[in-house]
Amino acid sequence: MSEEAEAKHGEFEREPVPESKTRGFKAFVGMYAGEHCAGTELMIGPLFVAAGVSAFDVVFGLLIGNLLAVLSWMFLTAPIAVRARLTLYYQLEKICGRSLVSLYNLANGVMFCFLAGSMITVSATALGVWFDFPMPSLTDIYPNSFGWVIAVLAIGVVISVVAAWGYDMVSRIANIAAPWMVLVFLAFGIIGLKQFIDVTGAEVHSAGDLWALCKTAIWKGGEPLEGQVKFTFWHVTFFAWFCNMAMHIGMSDLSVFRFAKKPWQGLATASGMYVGHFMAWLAASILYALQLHMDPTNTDVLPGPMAYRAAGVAGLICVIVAGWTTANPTIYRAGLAFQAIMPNKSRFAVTIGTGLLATLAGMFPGIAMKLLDFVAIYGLMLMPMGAVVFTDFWIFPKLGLKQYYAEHRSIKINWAAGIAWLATMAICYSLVKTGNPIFQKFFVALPGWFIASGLYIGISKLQQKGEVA
Amino acid sequence: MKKILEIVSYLALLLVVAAPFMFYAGKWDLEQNKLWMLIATIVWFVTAAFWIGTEKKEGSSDDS
Repeated sequence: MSEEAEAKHGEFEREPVPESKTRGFKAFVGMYAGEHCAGTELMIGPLFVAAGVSAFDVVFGLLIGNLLAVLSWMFLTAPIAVRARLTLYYQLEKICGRSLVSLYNLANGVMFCFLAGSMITVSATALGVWFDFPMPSLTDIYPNSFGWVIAVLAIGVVISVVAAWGYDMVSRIANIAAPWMVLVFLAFGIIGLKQFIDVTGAEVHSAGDLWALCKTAIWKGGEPLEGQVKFTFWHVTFFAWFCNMAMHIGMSDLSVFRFAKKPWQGLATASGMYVGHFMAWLAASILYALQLHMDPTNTDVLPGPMAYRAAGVAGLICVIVAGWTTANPTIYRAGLAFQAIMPNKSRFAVTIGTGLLATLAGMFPGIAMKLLDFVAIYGLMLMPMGAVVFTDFWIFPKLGLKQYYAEHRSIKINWAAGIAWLATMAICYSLVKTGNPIFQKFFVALPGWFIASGLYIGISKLQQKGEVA
Repeated sequence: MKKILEIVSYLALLLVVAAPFMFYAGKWDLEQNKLWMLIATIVWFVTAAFWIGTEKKEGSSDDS
């Protein structure tokens, strides 16, 4: 949810949202379209190309994966959200107890910091165009130049101070920038496509000609670049489905859809998926594919230079604004998560500290260059708690088990939920380590969800043995 | 006045996406495309700031 809305509706943090405060479909369409057209889209699209995707795999994988994501919001998140009308944190507190929620908040806050760090990384690549310092390559993990460190530090400090002081101002800039940014992303795609036609000498007079160009020049498939995992149709599908796993299956967006009138309003997420995670990813990937076509040795994934070559200064502004406006709420969210653990610290101090942590993360290009992996791990870490919420809400009453057990027993840790969360992560990690392709980190969250649910039910049965539901 | 600014904003937004289409059609070269996208960007931010996000201050309620 946008923090504007969070602040606005902050009074419902520990009570259900009243019917009179619910919002219409349009409000969610705008929110999701803006939020999912972010700086990181400029990394993810190119990384698909670096992962050696083919045209069919990327186009149809994204169509289906994004559909699965929308359906997850509609049928998993929104139905619980409109019935309970509680934030995820409050609902988790009732299920898991305050101490366990603090641990969850810590994990969530750290992951948000890394995500914000990669958004700062994206913005810093735009400064590299102006100041011409050495920028990181695709395989770099550590900062590779003094100029890079200074650029990230400068952007990170500005973002942190603004996040702490002037959230409303950035939120307003983000609202103004959103429609413009979507069109600049579209422009990247159109310009890149035209340049591809020019450099290949292709004749494009029909959809068939265009598809042939896509298959033979843009998304050619084949081996991935050094250090990247080969992406097939299934990788793209699961990545698109799970890249916001923390929000839908992980139930983070209970906090958003508690303001919805009906569960079907979850359909509004399609705006974010098909604008940001389809059009923007494909457009950004076209720019990178063009760069590789022109110079196969230039494998650097640097949104700044790519955007500048296509759209000039407007492209650079887009890179900076996309990184800035999305890093800002991410830092704010991380700050909220940390402040829940340290309620005595001031909001200002926590946000500055969080921003600096994100800035430090942003200096390490390894996070942004391995964004596909990071996003998969991020979802995997938070997904088990979504399974716990789902199971507690729908399945426990049918099994005669007590819902909201921590609240019922006034305990600080519900070990059934805690073990389900941590054991699921450990089991998923072990499955990934087997090296079996079906258990790659991009797929393992699917069996992981069932493991988490099963563990939570099984341990709760033992825990509640002899108790009357 | 606000209505005029709103119209100018939308025209700028239209230009942001029209410029690449002109480039695609071969009517403009890449430098012209970049220039017009920049002009449209400036016009959008300058004019949109006067009407986007000002509704609440004027007392409008939640949309639904």
